Amino acid sequence: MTTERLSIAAFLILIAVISILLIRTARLVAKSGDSGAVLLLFALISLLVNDLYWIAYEALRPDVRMPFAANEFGEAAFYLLFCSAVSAVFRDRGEGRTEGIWAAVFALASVGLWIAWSGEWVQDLMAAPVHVYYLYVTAVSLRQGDALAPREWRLWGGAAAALIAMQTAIFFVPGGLKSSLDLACYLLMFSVQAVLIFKAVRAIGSGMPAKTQLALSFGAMAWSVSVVYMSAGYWYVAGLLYEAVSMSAVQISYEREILR
Amino acid sequence: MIYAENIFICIAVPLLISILFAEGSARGFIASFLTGTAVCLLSAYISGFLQIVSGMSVGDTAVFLSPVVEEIMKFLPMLFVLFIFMPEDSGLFIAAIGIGAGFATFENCCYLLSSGAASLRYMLIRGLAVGVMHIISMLTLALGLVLVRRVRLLSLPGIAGAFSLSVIFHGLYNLLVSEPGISSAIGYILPLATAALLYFPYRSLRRTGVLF
Repeated sequence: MTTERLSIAAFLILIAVISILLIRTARLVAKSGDSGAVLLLFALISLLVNDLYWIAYEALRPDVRMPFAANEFGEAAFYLLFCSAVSAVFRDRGEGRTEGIWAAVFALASVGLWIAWSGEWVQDLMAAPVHVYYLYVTAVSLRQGDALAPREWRLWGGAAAALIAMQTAIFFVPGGLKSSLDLACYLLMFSVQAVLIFKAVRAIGSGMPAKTQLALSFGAMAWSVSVVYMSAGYWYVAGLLYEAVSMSAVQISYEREILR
Repeated sequence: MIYAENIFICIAVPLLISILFAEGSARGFIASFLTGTAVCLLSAYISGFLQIVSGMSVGDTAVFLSPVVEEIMKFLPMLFVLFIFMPEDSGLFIAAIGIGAGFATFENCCYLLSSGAASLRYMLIRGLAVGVMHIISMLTLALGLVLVRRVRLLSLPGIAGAFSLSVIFHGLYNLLVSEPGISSAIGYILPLATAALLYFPYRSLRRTGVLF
């Protein structure tokens, strides 16, 4: 199966997962009347419409690379509404700002890499503020939810810095080393992703405080988004599936936090 | 060739006179409706300009640029209402519906004059699909703004999120109807289906007191 078909299959799985999460969130809204839950509902609707846009574009114009289009706004809508829903739980009281700023630096470095890879200045620069804000809110919520021990923060920060350094080095090293570095980057990204999803799922299963569950799930989701943006081919498809799992974890933990 | 400015004057003058005699929410609705017609005209100018600058075809402009331009133009008066008049939730909804209905009406008038009104099928599509789409995108925007205000997150990200949702909805509609066949049929059904889907949570939110 070609990667194009696999990625369409992954998008269809993602759409099915989002639809289920939408139904669960709609029930949550009906049960609780909570405004944050409504924002989460809106965020999921944005993501669903955005994925449908992708599928429709692939079906209608398979041979034309998508120019700057409404789907850029769809992605932005999802992240911003998602952040608004999570910010309704973790208010920015100053706690976690240092971690937030480091996450923002990582986001900016990622945007620089996107531009270097694709050359799409306009799209990437427009996406930059949203991505920076998304990772900032993630780090703040992880800090406020007491989701990571100091050692884990250092490990995660080190992994992020190593990832950026290796991805940058790929532009300058000769061919043979380039593919090895590329593989190392993928292994690093997906290992961190696996650890984060494991921590989030374990937190949900072991009945940790709902805020901690939510923060860990949100962190896993943010990392999976970064992974998807930095991946291609089969890795990209795997990243989309990780995203589906982490998004489900966010919805479940958000529901628990609201109904607490 | 149609003379959109002349059509605008023809529609706007009676509305302007009506504003002088209307009161309360009726006046707000008429003013919003009038604003909707004006921003539709301005959107057409801007999309035409961008089409020439970008070198895109008319079809590609409608798919990729128009949704963004039109939603920005509808969004700006909503921001004005939100921050200058600081209305209640119901006032915000009236403004949104008025702007959406005014926009759809003016756009429909221009299409009627350029393509004729002989085909009932085409008229139904214009009315039930495009017309409803503009209202739904504005209702979505208003609902988003009300909610971010409700959770005290009336910040740039919250507002931008609500706005972006209306853009992607409009963009998906324009993409689907850009090609004939099953995708067009889905596109034409999309606004009415969304209206039906939106109606029930809207009622539920009003009943539970989340909305006004």
